Amino acid sequence: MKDLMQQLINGLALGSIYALIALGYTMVYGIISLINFAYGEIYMFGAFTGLILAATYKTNVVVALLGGMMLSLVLGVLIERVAYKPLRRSSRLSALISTIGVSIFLSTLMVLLKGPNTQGFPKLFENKVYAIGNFQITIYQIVIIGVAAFLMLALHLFVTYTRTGRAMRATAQDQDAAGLMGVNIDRIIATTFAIGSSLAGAAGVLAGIYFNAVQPYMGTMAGLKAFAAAVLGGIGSIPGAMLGGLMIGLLEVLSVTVNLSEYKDAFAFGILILVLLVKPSGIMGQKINKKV
Amino acid sequence: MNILELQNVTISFGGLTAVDKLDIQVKSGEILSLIGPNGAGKSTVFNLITGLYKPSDGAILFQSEALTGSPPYRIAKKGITRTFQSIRLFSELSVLHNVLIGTHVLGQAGLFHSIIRSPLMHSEEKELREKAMAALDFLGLADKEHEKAKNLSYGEQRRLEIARALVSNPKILLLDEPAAGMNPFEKTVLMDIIRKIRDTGVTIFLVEHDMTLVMGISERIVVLDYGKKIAEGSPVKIRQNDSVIEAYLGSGQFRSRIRRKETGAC
Repeated sequence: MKDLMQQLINGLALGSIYALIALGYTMVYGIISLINFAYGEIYMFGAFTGLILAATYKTNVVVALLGGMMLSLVLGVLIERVAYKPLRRSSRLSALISTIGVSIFLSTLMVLLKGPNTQGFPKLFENKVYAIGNFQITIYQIVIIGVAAFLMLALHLFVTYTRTGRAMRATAQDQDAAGLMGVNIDRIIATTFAIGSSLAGAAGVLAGIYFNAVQPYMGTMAGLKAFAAAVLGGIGSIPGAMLGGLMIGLLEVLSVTVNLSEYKDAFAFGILILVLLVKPSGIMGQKINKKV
Repeated sequence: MNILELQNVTISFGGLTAVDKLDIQVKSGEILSLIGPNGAGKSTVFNLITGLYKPSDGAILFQSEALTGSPPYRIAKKGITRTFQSIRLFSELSVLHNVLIGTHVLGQAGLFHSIIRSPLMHSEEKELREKAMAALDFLGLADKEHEKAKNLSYGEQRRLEIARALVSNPKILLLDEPAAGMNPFEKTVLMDIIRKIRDTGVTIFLVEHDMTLVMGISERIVVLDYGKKIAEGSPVKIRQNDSVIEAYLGSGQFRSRIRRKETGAC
């Protein structure tokens, strides 16, 4: 029992990271029905930005986190402009392949810039362990869960209560009609990419601190798992992505508990296959009746 | 004064010329109807005006300023809003939020103000809400504000579309078959609403099949057939126009309704 509680906390921290990346997948899918496979690499990019800020410029954790988010945001908007916007009117498959191209480009670029080796993250603050009852929580875990929860709450408030958020929800439902109501669709799409990318960047910095390991291909697996999380939660649904991320994180940690740690990656993708077979719309997703 | 002017507007889809060298003048403050048989190109005209389609040729002027080439959101900002033949509400959003989307062009508070939650954003949001409620009230939907749009009755959804288009204080309102699917009572209410809207100074441009409605409220009518204007004038004049009668009822002689090139070569 003690072990289980402990694993729940570990899973929550890991799941928060997946959830932050999954939000990017789900938001962009909600607006333009595109899976942006480059989010994993934006997460990697965020981790490296945080690393460089912390290691080379000796900044504190807040600056590293905000810097990672800002630069990822710029990268996300740039990717949208260069790789997706010109393909908006072409087939969905072309855009999808373009996202895979961007993802390969980014990880290879990082190998060129920083080398292929795993790099450690400098200690930004002392890691303390708190014992609550019979389980322990580290300050790293508190920071990760706290920052992720704060960002998700902020996103929720933004989408629900602001004018831009409202325009985003309208655009997700009917792009043409939203445009005719005076919503600048191009700007809404760019904003969506920007928000998703900065969340992935934040996840990257947090993951760098948590795992103390940053390398150019770290985004591939994390991105795919976050994608599985978004599908599990119901792609297009923001609360779904949060829930899906946490569930995938918990599941992965639990698989370690039951001594199946070699198969922990298989669990996430097993879930993905299962969801696609049994309930393709996911937990919170809506069944969409395509107009014929 | 003409508020909206189509000059020699043409659009072809592949080999089909949907709108052919069309000239229409909409006078400020009038109720103008565009009628014609199915497939005459009426909705295409609306899609051209609102920027969903770009004309292959010709120009569209709004208050003597060229619209051609502007994206839809800019055209909406200039004061042209519309409803749709097949209802296109944001069905998962509440009635109030649907109308609030319509206020999008009025808002000034962008991303920055939303993030810092500035007083400007708060006062603006309050003002927009009041406007939205006023529009709902005007169309008799105030008590449904929290309902999801998809749960409204058909007639209510049509009225909600009008509220959404009206809330941004447009200068001209394009109504695409607003009476479709309405019962006679709802139609009478609708006619009343359209007149009231016009009396607040909004020009009305209407596409409609329902002749009772068209003849009842229009001041002028333009008739379209095969993308071409075949007649224009007051309801009385249109009713007696031979080519209009022919377009709707046929000439009594066999004439293929398939569009052919004038040369007859194909």
